[in-house]
This record gives sequence, structure tokens and C-alpha cells, in this order.
Amino acid sequence: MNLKYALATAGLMLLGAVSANALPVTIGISTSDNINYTGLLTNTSPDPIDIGADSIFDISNPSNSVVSDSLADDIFNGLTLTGGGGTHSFNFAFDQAVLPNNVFVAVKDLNDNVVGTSVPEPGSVALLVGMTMSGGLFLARRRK
Amino acid sequence: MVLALIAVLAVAGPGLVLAGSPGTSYPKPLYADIIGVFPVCNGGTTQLQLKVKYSDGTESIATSGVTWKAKLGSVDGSGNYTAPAAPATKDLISASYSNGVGSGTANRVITLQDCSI
Repeated sequence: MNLKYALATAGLMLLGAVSANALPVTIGISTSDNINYTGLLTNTSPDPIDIGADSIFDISNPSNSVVSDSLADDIFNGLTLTGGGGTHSFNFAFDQAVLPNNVFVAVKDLNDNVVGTSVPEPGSVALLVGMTMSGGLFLARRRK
Repeated sequence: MVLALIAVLAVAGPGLVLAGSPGTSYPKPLYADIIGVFPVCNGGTTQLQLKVKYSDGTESIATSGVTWKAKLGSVDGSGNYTAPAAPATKDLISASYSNGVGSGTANRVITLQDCSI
């Protein structure tokens, strides 16, 4: 029983940490050939966000190069994501194939804050763990 | 006993060969940030640096493996940026980076201003 409470407490602590670390912009990427990619930015916050910088990395290959990045030009032209679900699609390409799991995209606002990344932050993993723990405790209590 | 020794060598040997000798290990670069003193006067200069954040949570200023580019102005190999002399309000700076494990590019819009008035 003490273990259940300990797990529940840990789960709630993790959930709290997640809510503090959540980023407002989600970034989805897709590809059909592992070279040409399409990305989609979605602003999940209620407020508009001006994008001032982007970064695209292949975290598996030191000799790969980003040969095109339409997001950079979009940012140069003054990209603003409207609040409440505003989206923006963009394209980028590498000169060598790279698996989607090894592509990391990040965007920053005009104040140099990272507002979105394409892979789960540590907090997102904590969210999953926390929800699992809390769900387990709920089921255990119902069985009593 | 001899068979056991042969079995251990058969399993461990290829692994040791594949692993090779210990060399330089790099963390994976997740994203990079172009930093400098902004805004820049039209025709003025600033020293650019690339701050890279890695998969192990560390971040550092890249001292090698960086290639710079600017849409309107110019950047030399050391990151010395010169803004266009013609009036402009912004420029796009790009940096390509590689560290032995990963590679990528970072872009940032910087503000330019007319300092003659």
C-alpha cells in the first residue's frame, strides 16, 4: 500500500514538472523518401508567437547537409503563428537519406526562447510515466 | 573447459573487433543558436558564435566545424559578420555545423538599423 502511495506521489510530481515544461509549438515531420521532408508547426497556446529562428539537425550523420529549408525564408519574411491552433507548413531536404527518428527540428521566438521541438522533451516522457502511475493507482483502489 | 573458452572467444572476439579502440566520442547535437550583439548598424560588424545544445543536456560554443552564410550581408570563416551598407531592416544568418556524430543547420533573423541618424 505504501508503495502505491509512493508511486502516486511520484506520478503527480512528474505531472507537475511536465506542466511547467510544456512547449507551446508542436512540430510534426513526415517524409516519403527520407530525404525530402514536410514539417508542420502548430501553436497550441492562445497567444500568437513570432518565430525568429529555426534549427534542423540529423543527429546520426556528421556529413549530411540541409540543402533546402523553406522555414528559414518564412522566418525572414516575418512568420507569426496565430494563437489557438495556428499552423504553418514548411519543407526541408537533406543531401543524404536520414530516418525521421534522427531528424531534430527546433524553433525559437524573437526573444530567443525555444518554443517548439520535433521530438518529445524529457517532460513528455515524464507525463507518460506519471499518467501510467496514476492510472495504476486508480485501478488498484477500485479493486479494493 | 576448452570448449567453454572457445565459446567465450567466439562470442567476445568479434565484439571486441567491432568495437575497436576507444576514440573520441561526441554527444549528438540537437539544435543550435546563433548569438552575437544585435541589432547591427547598416555597414557595421559583429562577432557571431554558434551555441550548440547536445543530447546529454550540455551546451557549448562551437569552435570548429561551423560554416557561416548571410542572405544580405557577409560572414567570414571566423564568424565576423558585416551588415549590408545599403539600408535594410533585417538579415538572415545561417550556420551549418557538424561534430562527428550529427550535422545540421541553424537560421536566425537579426535586426539591422540605420545608425547614421
